[in-house]
Amino acid sequence: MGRDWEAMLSARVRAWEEGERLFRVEREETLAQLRATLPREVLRWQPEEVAVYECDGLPALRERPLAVALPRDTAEVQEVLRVCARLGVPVVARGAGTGLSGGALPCRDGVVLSLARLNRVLEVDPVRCWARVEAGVRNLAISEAAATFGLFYAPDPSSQVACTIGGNVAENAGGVHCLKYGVTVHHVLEVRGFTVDGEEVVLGSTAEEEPGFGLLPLVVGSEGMLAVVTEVTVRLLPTPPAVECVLAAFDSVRAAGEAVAAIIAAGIVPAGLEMMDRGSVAAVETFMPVGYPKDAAAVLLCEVDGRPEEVEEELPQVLDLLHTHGAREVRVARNAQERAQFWAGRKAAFPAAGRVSPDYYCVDGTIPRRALGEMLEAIAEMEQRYGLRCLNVFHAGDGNLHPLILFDGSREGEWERAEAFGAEILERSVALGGTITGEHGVGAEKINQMCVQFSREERAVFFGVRAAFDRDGRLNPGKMIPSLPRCVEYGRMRVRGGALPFANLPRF
Amino acid sequence: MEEVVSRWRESLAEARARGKMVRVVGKDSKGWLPWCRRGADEVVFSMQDWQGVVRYEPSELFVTVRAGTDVAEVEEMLAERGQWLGFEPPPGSVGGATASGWSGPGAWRYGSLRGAVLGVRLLDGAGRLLRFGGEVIKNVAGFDVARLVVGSWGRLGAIVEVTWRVWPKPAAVRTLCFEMGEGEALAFADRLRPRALPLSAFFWSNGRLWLRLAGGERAVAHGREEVGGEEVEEEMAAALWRQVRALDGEPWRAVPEGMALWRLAVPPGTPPLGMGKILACERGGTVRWVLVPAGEEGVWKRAEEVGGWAWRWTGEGPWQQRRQGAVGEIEERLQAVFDPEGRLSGGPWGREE
Repeated sequence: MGRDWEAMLSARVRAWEEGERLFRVEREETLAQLRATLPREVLRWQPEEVAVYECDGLPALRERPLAVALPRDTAEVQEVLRVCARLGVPVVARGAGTGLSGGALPCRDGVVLSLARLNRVLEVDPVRCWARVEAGVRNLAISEAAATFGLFYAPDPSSQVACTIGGNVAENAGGVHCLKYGVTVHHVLEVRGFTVDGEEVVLGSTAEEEPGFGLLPLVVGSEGMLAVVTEVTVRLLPTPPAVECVLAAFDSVRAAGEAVAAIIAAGIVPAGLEMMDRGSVAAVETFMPVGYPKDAAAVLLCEVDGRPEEVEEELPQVLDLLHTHGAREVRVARNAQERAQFWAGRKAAFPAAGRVSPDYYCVDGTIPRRALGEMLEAIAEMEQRYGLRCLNVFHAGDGNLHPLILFDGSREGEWERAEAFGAEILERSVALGGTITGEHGVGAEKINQMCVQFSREERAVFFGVRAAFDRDGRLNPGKMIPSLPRCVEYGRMRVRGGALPFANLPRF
Repeated sequence: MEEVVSRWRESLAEARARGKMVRVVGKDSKGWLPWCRRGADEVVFSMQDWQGVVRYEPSELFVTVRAGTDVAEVEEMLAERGQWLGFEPPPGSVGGATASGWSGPGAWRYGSLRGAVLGVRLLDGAGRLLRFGGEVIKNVAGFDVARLVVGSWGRLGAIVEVTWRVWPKPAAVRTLCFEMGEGEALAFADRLRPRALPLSAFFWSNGRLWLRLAGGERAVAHGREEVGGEEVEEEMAAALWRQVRALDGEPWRAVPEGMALWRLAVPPGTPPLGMGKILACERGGTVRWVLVPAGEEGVWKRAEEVGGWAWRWTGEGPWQQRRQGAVGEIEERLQAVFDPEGRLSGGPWGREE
């Protein structure tokens, strides 16, 4: 190691800083070698076969990959990685493809490595309280497998019916319960997988601590750029025996925000705390009437869980605080069915936006909650300026906002305007002391805004960290870390300001 | 901030000029540990005077503090607003606690210090002032370097500022004591783990198990009925937990002549190790303190056999083994990212040549 590595590292970081790497891939040779190594049913390369892998949950960004591999076991994963290593081919790992930031956007001359077939629950241990599962197991399937033991897996992204644990690890997925329970990084004990060259690695430990540097938290949320994870051991928690859910209507978003602050300041950490503005409520009620008060400026959902006596203590306090902070209507779900209905509306907010508008663009900034009023006023002003409507839903407890910008992709320039609108919200999030992404990841989508949140030196460290795991940068290239020319170009564009044509700017 | 940055760069320059290493210290509260002894060839960089709370937002559950600030001072401030650091960091400076990555007894319930770190400002071995993470709980922009820095013992740089997540202080806390042997206590932990009980700490030593319950008044009262045991008087209990948290007194500070103290991290559900003399078990049995004759190296292997790892606490190093293979190489390269000249010293891993 020593000197050679250091020289290599600084050269590599400089090269990456100067421009995103282009790979010289022998397409025919790569296909031939993959076909010689793997059975037909594991490979897709015909245009109609790979079309479905062109994008993830962000359909505005598309790229056709050279090939898609769908290994059935870890040995085949390793084979794919070895062939790609030999030929210098980029690899983009993919779970269920539900990500919202273009994190699984293919690379034109690269192989998409789908881990969806690795879908076995290997072990649920009710005494050690963990589950060992393959990367392609769906998030909800873990809780379902654990339910017979009275246990559950806490992080619950809204796509949990479909999204995989491997994807959750890559994105450090959150969900509606993370204020109280934490995000993916707090619940993963150990991951197994491969380096870009196909060498086996184990990161983290079921002993709950890892010797040496904390590599596990580095890999969680690394957007598939450091290693390919094939197996995950997660912590399971005892299912809280009691749950209560409250719906409260407010005449202003600001009042609802103050009620949230008061609840937390009173020492209560609700399991879920979600807010929707008037526009979102109207959209939800059109799409799936669940009985939200349509004339309210903001609807707040607050869920408390725990032992029955805890919930009995906390619920009256929550109700009291909601009333004293100006809630004009407060409903407690009378039973599990009504509780499910309260949540169904919130969980349907995205599809509802898709119903009231031909297209919508979901933004994912986090701001300090005290800046909520300021942010909403800024968004209202941007709606005027960009000439587009925006519905607001937030994870109110932790300040994670999901503005849904409505647009019509078939109209000239509307997507570009929506994109610029979203970018401005993210930049404002940074200016208010927050971050450009709370839970959806940077991916291909927010790579420009990384120039705003991080300094050149910090971005150089990210390149260095990447090189420490993957010296050629072949795992998911072109994501998350922007090059210097990109940041310079983005800076110029921002100076010009507003919704100027972005269409000609190559994304990769 | 500028003063700290220029002082750090001067220390790096001095070390470079004189062919020395740089060691970061806070309040030196861990100076009694063998791997925290200063070498003659080291320039010491002190963070002790870099103190103060930068921002505290009780309703947003975070606090941002300069590295030299005393943990006790932060806790006093939080207590005024009914909050606390659930992971119970060791006494000393905020930067030192973060660099060590140690968590106290509360980690059993609230998770580790590493999980509670939301952001850091770091001065690295190349003299760069860097900020990773932030002050919000949900933040996935960029690699999670803030949590990589936790437990790096100054090897990646000097921590300048830390943002910790905080928790509301439970209304009721009660400690219960049980007379039981190691095996019985570990089996008891296995029965407690899957149950929804307001447990917050677990410590076994010398034939006694102490369990701490924390939560609402009624939840704790119910929990107490369910688990049994003798209730321990409040002040005595607080003193016990303080001691466990600080690793103060026996078994940590009074190691008999000719013996060595080891800390093992093992998976939950691991039965008694049957090795040396067991002094204490923490966190539901996932941390074990064992006394073995000095020079007995079989501990490394025993820990590995049960899926855990070992840490030599007293005696001569190496105190921890570096991981081998691809992971070990990644660790070395990572260090070079932050410390290209290899000038930063610290940590229980010894120095690589």
